[in-house]
Amino acid sequence: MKKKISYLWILPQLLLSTIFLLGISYGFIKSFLGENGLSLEHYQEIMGRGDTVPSIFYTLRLSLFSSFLSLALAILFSFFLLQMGEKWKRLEGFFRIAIMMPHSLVALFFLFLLSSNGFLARLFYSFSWISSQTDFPALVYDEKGIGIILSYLWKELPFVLFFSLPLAYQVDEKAGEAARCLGATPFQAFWKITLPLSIRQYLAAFFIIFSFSFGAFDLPYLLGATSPKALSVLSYQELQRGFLQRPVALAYNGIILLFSLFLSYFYFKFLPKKKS
Amino acid sequence: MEICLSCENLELELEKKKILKDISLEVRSGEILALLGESGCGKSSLLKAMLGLYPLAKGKIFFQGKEIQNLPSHKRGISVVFQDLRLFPHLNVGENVGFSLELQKVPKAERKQRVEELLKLVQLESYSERRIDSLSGGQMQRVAIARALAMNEKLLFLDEPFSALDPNLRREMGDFLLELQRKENLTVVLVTHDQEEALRLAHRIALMKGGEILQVDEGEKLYYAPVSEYVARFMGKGNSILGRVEKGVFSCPYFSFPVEKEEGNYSFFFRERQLSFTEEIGERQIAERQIAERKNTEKQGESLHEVEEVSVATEALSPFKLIEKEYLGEFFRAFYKNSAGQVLSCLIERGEELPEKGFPKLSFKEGEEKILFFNKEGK
Amino acid sequence: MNPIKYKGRAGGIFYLLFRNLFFLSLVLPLFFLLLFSFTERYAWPELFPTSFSLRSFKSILFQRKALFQDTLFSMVFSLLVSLCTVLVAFCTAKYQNEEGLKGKGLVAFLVNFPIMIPATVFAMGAQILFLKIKIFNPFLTVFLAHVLYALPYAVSFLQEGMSRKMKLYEEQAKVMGAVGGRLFWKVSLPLLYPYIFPAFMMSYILSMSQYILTLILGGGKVKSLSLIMVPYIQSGERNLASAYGLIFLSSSFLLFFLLDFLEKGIQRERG
Repeated sequence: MKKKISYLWILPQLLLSTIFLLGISYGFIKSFLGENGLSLEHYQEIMGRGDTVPSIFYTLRLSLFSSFLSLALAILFSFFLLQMGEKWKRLEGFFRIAIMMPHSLVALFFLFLLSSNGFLARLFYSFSWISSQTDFPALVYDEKGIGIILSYLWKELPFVLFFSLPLAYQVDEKAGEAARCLGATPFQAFWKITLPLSIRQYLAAFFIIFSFSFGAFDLPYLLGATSPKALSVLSYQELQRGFLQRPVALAYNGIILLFSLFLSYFYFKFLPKKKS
Repeated sequence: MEICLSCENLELELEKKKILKDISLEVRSGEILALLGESGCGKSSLLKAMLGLYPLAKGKIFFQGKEIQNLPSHKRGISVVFQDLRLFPHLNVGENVGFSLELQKVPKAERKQRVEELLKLVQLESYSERRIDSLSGGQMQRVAIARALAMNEKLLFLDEPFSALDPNLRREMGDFLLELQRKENLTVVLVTHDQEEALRLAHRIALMKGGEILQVDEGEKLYYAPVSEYVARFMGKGNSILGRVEKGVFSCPYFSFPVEKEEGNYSFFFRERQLSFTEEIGERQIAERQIAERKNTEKQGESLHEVEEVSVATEALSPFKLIEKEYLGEFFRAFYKNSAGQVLSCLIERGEELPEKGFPKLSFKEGEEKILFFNKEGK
Repeated sequence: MNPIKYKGRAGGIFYLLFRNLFFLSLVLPLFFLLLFSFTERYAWPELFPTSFSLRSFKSILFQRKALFQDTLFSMVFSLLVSLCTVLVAFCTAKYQNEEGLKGKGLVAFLVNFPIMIPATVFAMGAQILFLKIKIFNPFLTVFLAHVLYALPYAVSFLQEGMSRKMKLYEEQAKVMGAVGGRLFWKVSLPLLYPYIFPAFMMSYILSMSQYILTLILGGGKVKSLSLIMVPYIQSGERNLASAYGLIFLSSSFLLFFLLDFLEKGIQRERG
């Protein structure tokens, strides 16, 4: 009797998740609906456009690069943070704050810093490294997307650390210590023992941030170049064009969705198993 | 007698608590030294301090003649088997064992050979390719030992290595360790809280309490010549009766014997094996008591004392009644209690007679000293 | 005499290094934010602005009445979202914590699913779908969307809080006679509060930060603070954008202190 009632607790979540799944599915299905039923015409249309493929590559490059950089730096930072022993826990607060920052604020910060009218540019000017605003390399609104990558990095690096460091610390305390007692230098212990044993956690975080940055809108919208544009931005633009263009926008979303699902498969594969 | 490792005046403080207070210890080559004590006495911490896992506030550690207390763990050259073993799950048995050799850049062929030698030594020949999670508890223990020996084939630290095992396996591993040590002439420092294990395996035992070493001696000496009642009771069960030493004679309600101790109140401690019960007061006991009484009356020369002694004697000589029996396998433990509430226990072999009522009788072997502990309060 | 141990001496250096690095990377942006919200002009090639004023704040408070109201509305909206999120998360966490219930793996998946699906994808599909259903006005859809995207974090916080001996304490209290409401106020809530706190904060900030979700589903009627702020970022009006950013952060801080104050009150209740 008690058990049956207990199932009620999950009702709110189920309701919300149903709405969520419906929303996604509806959008996805609609992208396959043409004039006469199911068709791939919308996808064909966007693939036919000149800016779609470059956009896919651009988006991929941005998210892969920023995520990979975040992962690499996180691993590097982890090594040093682990050398502090228990003290690293005092720094966890910093990670939390960084993670909570809204993307728009982060975009703003980097605009302050990196735009050709920004702080760095003025600093270079005061050192006479550049002679005018236009000399300053384009770090935002550029094709390389350096500003975007740095912005992602600012939030994603703390996230990977927040997600993975606790486990890495546990591993280091036990197996890492054993390695050091067997003659491994701190670096050797990290590289040969601690890291291999905790890498799954780091990789799970990687897939989260990779998937997220691939489909995210805020940062490419605010800091991105006029071309190429990120996929999510292209999608939004289509939407703004009006009702008729909606399926096209949904087709862009379809690509994003498929890729996200693809990545989430890897996430769940790497997801560290919980020990009961 | 070669000293393999020694500590001088070690002091360790963790989180504002003094864990080790002025520890000095020598480890002799070729011996098994047990660090024994209750939880929290500092034995594990001492081991870890020697390994460099805890920073010492004061003191020096010498290993093979070198001062090592300022060296980081990976440079000290002392290997250890942790309580939780900490075998590397992502490496196979051979890679685990050869780990330290790989770090030392030993060439592959030589490494492989050494690993095979060690695996053979721990009776795990041809296990080199196996995965860690495919091993049994005892097998994992032996891999851990082999791994430690790969780094240092002369000195081995073990931190409560067998406490996670069931009693039979524990015994087996103990035997295994003894044989291994004998064959390879290892020096072993073993941390344990089990005094039976310490007695069985170790040549010498360092008993610790509250961050201090109470006594370092052969097991037998700790058992039959402990320096304090705590040590006595820790090493094994025993009985104690309060009494008094006067003019070179210790007397308590049932026994008295000559001792070379200062006057005062003492607690007489003796092992269960040294006690038995008989239905009659032993003649020797009566005689001893008479001698003691006579000595007293002779020396005091006051009738008051005479009266007291006699009254004490008759009162204290109430018999003991058997109240409980504990079955221990080969032996029984019998509990006796007298009218004053004093409880004594002794060991009886299966099949031996157990009197329902009786008087205590001591039987000391040659060379066994009677243990007296100074008791200030006298109660 | 301290031995030269990696974790002893060198560890201390690393700690200082990283602490300062992290501190700087947080403080510097905040500093700029503060600076620019009070800036009148920031002409090239000045390194730091030299003319300051309260113009941006005055303009927010007095000139653009509508925007000011929107800002307040956004804060209240996000507070409500947070409240709802925490309540739902509480139910879900309770479910996950109960023994003997099935489908926990599926539930975990469903809860965390929004993290894997970008907001744009959901928003566009949902917009079309819910246009057709009368009940779902923009406010409700945005509200639900915000809750959905905040739930993964809130549930993870609350689940962590519940796994720690909650059941044991509750059973203990029940045995001693505390039931229903009293049980909740005196036992469950104080124990759980340290986890409700960050869950609430996270939901609030997340909700205020949601741009594209609010943009698409809100249809112009619902505005989150991010939505108000973004146009100024795009137009390059540094001071106004910074001012809104400052307002955002201030409201978050305010909330933080409020919740902290509440915590003291609840701990007192606990006795």
